[in-house]
Amino acid sequence: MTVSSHGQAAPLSTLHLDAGHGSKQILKDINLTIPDGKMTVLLGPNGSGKSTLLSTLARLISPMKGQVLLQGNNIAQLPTREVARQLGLLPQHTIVPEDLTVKDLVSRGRFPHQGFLKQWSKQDEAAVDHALAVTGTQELAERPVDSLSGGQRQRVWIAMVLAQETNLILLDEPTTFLDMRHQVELLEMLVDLVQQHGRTIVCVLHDLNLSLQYADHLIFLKEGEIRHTLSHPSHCNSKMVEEVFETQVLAVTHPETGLPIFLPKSQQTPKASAVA
Amino acid sequence: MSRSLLSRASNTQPWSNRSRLGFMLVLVIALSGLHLLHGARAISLTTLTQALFYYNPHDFDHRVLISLRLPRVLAMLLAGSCLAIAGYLLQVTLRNRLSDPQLLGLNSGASLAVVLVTAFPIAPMFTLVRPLVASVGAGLLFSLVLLISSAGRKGLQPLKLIFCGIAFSALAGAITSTVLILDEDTLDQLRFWLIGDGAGSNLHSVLISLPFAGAGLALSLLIMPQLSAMSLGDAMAKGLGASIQKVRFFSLCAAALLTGSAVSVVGPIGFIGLICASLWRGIHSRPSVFSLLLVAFTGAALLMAADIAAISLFAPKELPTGALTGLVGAPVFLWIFVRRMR
Amino acid sequence: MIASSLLSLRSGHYSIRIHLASLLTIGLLLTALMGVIFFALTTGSEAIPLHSVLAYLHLETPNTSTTNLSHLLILDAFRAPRIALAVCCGAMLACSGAVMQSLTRNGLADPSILGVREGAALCVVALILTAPGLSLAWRPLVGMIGGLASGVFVLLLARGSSSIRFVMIGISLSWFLSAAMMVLLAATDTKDLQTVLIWIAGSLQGATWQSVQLVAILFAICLIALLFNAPSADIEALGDALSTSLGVRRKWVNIIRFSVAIFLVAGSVSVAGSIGFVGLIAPHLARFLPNYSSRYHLISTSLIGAILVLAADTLGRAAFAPVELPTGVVIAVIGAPTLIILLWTRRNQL
Repeated sequence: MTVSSHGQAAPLSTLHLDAGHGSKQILKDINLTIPDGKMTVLLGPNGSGKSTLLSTLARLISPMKGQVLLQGNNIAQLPTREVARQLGLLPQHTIVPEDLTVKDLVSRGRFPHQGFLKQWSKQDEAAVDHALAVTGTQELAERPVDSLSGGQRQRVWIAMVLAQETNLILLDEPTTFLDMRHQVELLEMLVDLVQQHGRTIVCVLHDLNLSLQYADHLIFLKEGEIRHTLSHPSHCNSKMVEEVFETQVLAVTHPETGLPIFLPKSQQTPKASAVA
Repeated sequence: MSRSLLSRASNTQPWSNRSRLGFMLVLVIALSGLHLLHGARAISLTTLTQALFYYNPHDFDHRVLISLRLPRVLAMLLAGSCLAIAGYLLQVTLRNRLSDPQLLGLNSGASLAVVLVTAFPIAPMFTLVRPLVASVGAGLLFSLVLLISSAGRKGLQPLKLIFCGIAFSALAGAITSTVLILDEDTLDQLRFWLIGDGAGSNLHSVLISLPFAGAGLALSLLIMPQLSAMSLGDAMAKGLGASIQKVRFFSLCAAALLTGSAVSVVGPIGFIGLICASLWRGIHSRPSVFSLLLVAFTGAALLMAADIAAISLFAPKELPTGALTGLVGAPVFLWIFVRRMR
Repeated sequence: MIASSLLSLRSGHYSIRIHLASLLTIGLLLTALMGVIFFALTTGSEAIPLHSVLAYLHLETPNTSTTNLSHLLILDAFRAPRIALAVCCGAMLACSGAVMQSLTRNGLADPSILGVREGAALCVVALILTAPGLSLAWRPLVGMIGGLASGVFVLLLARGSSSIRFVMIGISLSWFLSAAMMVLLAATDTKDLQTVLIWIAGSLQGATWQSVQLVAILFAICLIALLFNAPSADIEALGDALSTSLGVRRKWVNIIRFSVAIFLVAGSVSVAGSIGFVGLIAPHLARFLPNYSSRYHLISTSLIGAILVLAADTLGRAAFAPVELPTGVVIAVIGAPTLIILLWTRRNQL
């Protein structure tokens, strides 16, 4: 059993995990521990297995071998509703039913807390209001979801996952369809959730540099294996990046945060020097 | 039968065009002969040749051959080739291999028109223009199907086309049944014809349909060069000087004429066009006179085989020919669709 | 504002949530259904005055001088069971259509184009032809086996349930089965053909209280199962991944809903024959009305289906009396244009 430093079981961890789609194995012997109250980012090139790993952590895919442990218990043996009260997920592709208002959608996040004669308790009401407030979507509450812009929509989905009131939140590439402003807004919101509200976040991201600015904990995957685990973004160096992404990079430092940034080295003659 | 054809066409060296045509022609003749000889009363080959060349009206066997079986064989030849060509034209013009006169509403439009005109005889000498009425009905209903299914941002989608075909066929079918239930005379006149049964066919209806079928065939032969240019894509066709809208319109007219003449002879029979064109690989990308003839011969052979099966499977009971083509056609539809999805 | 008309009733740990606008919709639909039922009771080849109908329903003390006893007989033996059967079958078909559409996430899914209806019909016809003497109660059972078989066949072939593939496979299976039905009918003796033909055309003529009882019980059980699963269905509309992560037991919920949908169609087909289009259009018509969640949507859909089939049946009885149009034909005349309008309005989504 994976145990964190202060003796309590880690919120989420894996033991010798093999997983894949159908009979095709993608993940090989994954052992990881997600730290409590931190934002963990999974990084890696296309096809490295990050989304598969996230899906396996969220029990969407059952492992071929090994276990996923939620608070030290095998997730496959816990009742699915029990898990749903501890672990929330925002998948990459979502379906918006027609004519559903923002508030109705966010209310659906309360499903694991409801029952046949427990349809709408005071906690349900409070959780939904809180989720709308934290994500700044209160004024959208009565609007139909399919009328919103991409950035607004993504906030609403996060509000829905927040209404689920789980300590752990898993997000699969939440910034993919957003422009730069909305990407930054969303990541700052996630950081806020970790720092102000004590949630634990696991997130698959595409953008290395944005991840380095906002993540607390980084896991690099390649070819279905964990290559590097960093407990702080400043530990990242160009050797790791070049090895994982197979691209020559140049390390610079962010002038404000002091965290590393990696720029791709151009194979062609630099344009700036040509002009000079 | 069809399987062996298929594997030949796909696996081994493709046959030369002429030998494919020749093979199909021989098959059509053989099946027609079989159909003539086969039946409740077995007739020998010598009697057949005698009946064809030295017809003796007092000989019972000769009379059976010439006045009962021959019209049915001719009807199947005509309807099979017409339906096959119509299906092929639709598939090439719509660029959708799942097209067939039955599935896209042409058959039910033709039936509805015939039933309506039988019940409310507005046209004088209706029996003479029945194929024309059927063609107009087929054309009208199909235009509606096209109109609805090509609307929308993504244009003509296979699923939409099939659904519109189903919806309009159901509507036409329901109106047809209503008329028939309310008007017993019409029902009596059209009973056999309606279920796609060859038993009702006679020489008269075949002869009347012939000019309309001929017109449809001529029209489709005329537009073949343009259709073949269109198979390279609309832009390419424009570059080659083909007027796309006009070609499409004429092609659909030809399909309506061919379907109308077929339906007015044997009633609504489905899936012939769908099955025939799918048997030959590559004919969709190279529309030509050869492809047209090949499909026509295949259609005639297929419908002939289906009709022989309809007579003999549960002899002395006779099955409706349309049911047998449906039994074969539905899986073929699925096969085409699944293969295309991959 | 419709969305804000939510009312929560709480007591201790228990809470119930009511959507007033949806409730009102259901009330109105119920009233409309009552109206159609009364109209259907009074009209027909023999017009029956309203006071006889009321006397029959024990809503008014029969006045021996004005109430015609033969009227009461007609009502009890023919009209009332027929109306009850129309209501049940309409509700069942509509309900099953709603479930099919949400399961496949395809607005064009309908039991009649997924081969389920044809599968059930083929088995029932085979039963009628091979064992004409058997009790009516066997028909729903055999129909269910047939429907389930074709449903499972389509499901296995489509591997997964939310795609065009599913619908296309269903369509071709239904074509195949109806061709098989034609062969079966042509190959058998004409002795039992009359029963079969009436049944196929989708007529409610043969309604008896026995068959009404049978399908009413079936419908009640199925509806309860569906209503119980409805919140999970709402969550499933958000996608496979989200519903799993929100704690929906997807496998079980889907198996139950899929089989209930088939039971509903098969049950209805086995007593009332092939009535098409109801399952396709009723759920869409219900979508034009305020329905907060799929619980309300299921109930409105059932009511609309009942109204549709009963209205079509009454129209078929009354419009060209004494000639009677089969209900299936009337429904198709109404339903096919509705489907066309539907295709037109969704032309950009398909």
